[in-house]
Amino acid sequence: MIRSSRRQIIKLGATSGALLATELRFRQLATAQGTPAAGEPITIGLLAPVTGVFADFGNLMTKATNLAVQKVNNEGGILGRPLTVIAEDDQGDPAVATERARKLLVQDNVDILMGTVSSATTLAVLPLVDQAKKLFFYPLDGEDKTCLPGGGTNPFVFGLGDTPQQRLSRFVPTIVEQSGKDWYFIGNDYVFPRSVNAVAIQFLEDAGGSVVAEEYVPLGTSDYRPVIDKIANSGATVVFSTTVGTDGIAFTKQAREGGLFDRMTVTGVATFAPEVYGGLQGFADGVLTADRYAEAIDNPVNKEFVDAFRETYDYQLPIGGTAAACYGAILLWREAATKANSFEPEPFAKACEGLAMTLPQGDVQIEADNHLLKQPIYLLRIENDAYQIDEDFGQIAHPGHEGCSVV
Amino acid sequence: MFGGLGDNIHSPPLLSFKMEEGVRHTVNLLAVVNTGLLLKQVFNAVSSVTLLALVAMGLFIIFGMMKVINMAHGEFFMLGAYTMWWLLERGVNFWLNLVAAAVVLGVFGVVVERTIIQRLYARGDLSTLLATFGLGILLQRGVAMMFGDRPQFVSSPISGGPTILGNTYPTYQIVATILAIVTIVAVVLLFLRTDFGLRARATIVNPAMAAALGVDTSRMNALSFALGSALAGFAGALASPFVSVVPAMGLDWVVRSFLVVIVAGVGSIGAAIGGAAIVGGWEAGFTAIRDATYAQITVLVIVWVLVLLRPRGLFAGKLRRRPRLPVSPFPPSPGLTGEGGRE
Repeated sequence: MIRSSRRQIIKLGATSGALLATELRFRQLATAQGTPAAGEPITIGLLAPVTGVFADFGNLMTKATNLAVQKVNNEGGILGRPLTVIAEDDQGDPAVATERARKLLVQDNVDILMGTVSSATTLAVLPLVDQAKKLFFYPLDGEDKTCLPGGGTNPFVFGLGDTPQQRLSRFVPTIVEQSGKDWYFIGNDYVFPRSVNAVAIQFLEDAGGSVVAEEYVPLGTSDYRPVIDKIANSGATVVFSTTVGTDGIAFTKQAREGGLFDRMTVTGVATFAPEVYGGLQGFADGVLTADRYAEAIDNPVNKEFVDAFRETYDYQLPIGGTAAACYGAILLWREAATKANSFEPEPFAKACEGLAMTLPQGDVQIEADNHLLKQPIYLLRIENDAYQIDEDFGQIAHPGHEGCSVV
Repeated sequence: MFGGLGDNIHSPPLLSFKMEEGVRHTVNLLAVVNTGLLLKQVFNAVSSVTLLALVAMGLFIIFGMMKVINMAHGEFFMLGAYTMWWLLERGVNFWLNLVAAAVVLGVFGVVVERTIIQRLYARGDLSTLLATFGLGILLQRGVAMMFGDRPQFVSSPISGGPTILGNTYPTYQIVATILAIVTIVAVVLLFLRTDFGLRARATIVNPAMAAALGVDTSRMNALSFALGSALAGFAGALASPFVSVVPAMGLDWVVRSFLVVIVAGVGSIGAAIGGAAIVGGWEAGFTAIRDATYAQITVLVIVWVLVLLRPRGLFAGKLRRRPRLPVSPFPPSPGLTGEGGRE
């Protein structure tokens, strides 16, 4: 009896000692990181499709945003104010996006808005942002959407994703050099693949290459075999795929099985995005692609992000640019607000223009003239379930408002 | 004023010119007949048609027997693929999983029929249509909640394959096509050569008369729903290595299966094969010759024309065997004829 209680006391002592030590470490951390945030919270409206076709992207956006908010709050918030997130599900649908954005901007009166995945939803939100005179950051890659219909730059909108011009300007010539000049373009039949291909073809022709064929398949097709065999027998040396999501997976699986990878270089964008890697896995082995982000990027900000993301969410798949951009956005805002000493849209936006810092994807700068992020682009090789960096193309800027889809 | 738009105005014509060029080139490819490619495309078409026939046959049996338009059929296909994935993750053998997917979905079919469909027969087609539509949404979102919307990974058990005239024939695609054909033949034989088949056909032709002559139509309904579901599940598992396994994966298949039913009509089990040959064959063939967008547009035109010409279906009259009802020990009463039966 006495022995057992003594043992209990020892146990208790050990436990409380451990707890005390942890507590002390936390306090030390807190002092090192500054005082916890207090005061009126800054509200972030997050428009993320957590259901529907783009649900994966929406979930990653939500996770990464919450992670960064937690980090920033632990480190004293922005201008001493804590951040809170109000998330709404736009379902990837422009009509829903309009309604939810209005709710966030008007009813919730958020300080800043971030989100949307598809270009259609981004474009649907723009007029509301202009009306509410609030800042809007979209994290996804895609064509420029920061211009005004009459020309010039929208003062309220910032694009954090890279444009096809940024992603492909160095990539296309590199692949031409490595794998040949005759390219077959295969994509899904909607705006994104067509606009990406238009840019890619321009770079291809500049590099002395030529288009063997440009073909589009309706979204939601599950049988790509007839198309794949056509490509295999076309005489092309490179196939550039912009089949997306589940279509891209079906294409890649059937292309691998049908021997297309043995006959030519299979590359592309979107098809091989880390966000769909769970469905591709070994089928994408050896593929070269271009992206704005890879886990393997070597800088302390990225290391902290990757470690925290993996640990917090027990996430096993490769982490992609969508999550990295949302995480980076919060860090950018802290930097800009500190510089402006304000979170009011006007001085804050001014402080954003030209702002340079290191984010998970490397050294970036918000371009003052077009509100797009000048950022590094990487040549990635998919190998052993990871995106390895084959070449760092360095920082690439988007030229003006070339290809802007706001009309 | 339009300065900022200059680039936009410039790019669309450039784009459309390139597209035309691309399409023309594709057509030229086939003008120079490439025997190896032609052979491969025929094989692709056969492979595509057999899988579609398998899915459509399930839909056929359920509609033919019970006049239930099973809107959840695509989700049954999806569940078959998820059964395959789930078991593969746990190290179960691929080929066993094909059988398991059919069995799991067969049992699931019985449960659905007994708990939902059976209660709605009396209310007519619309309520079963709505009920199965709702069930489909429930299943799709349920799977998404359990495993997420993200694509799951299923690889084929055999990789590689023989190369004939320069084109690779994936071994798994060959095996899957053969398995699909064997299953289709087995189902047709089941309907034409067995006692079950006789009763099933009798129920299709005239349920009331069949019931009057001693066929347990309630049991037939449960069995046929199970068979239809099992076929969808089997097809889903069979297709899983070469499509993406996501909650919404059934849509493409169920839409095309409905086209098959519309084209072929529901007169006989063989109509499913004929319908699948038209829909799947046209799509694969036209994609090979021109492109997939035109293939999917023209197949709808074909369906439209066929519906105008033969509203009851292409094979509704032709392939339908004369109703051979089970021989009754009692001579039919002269008053008991036609559709009415005892009702």
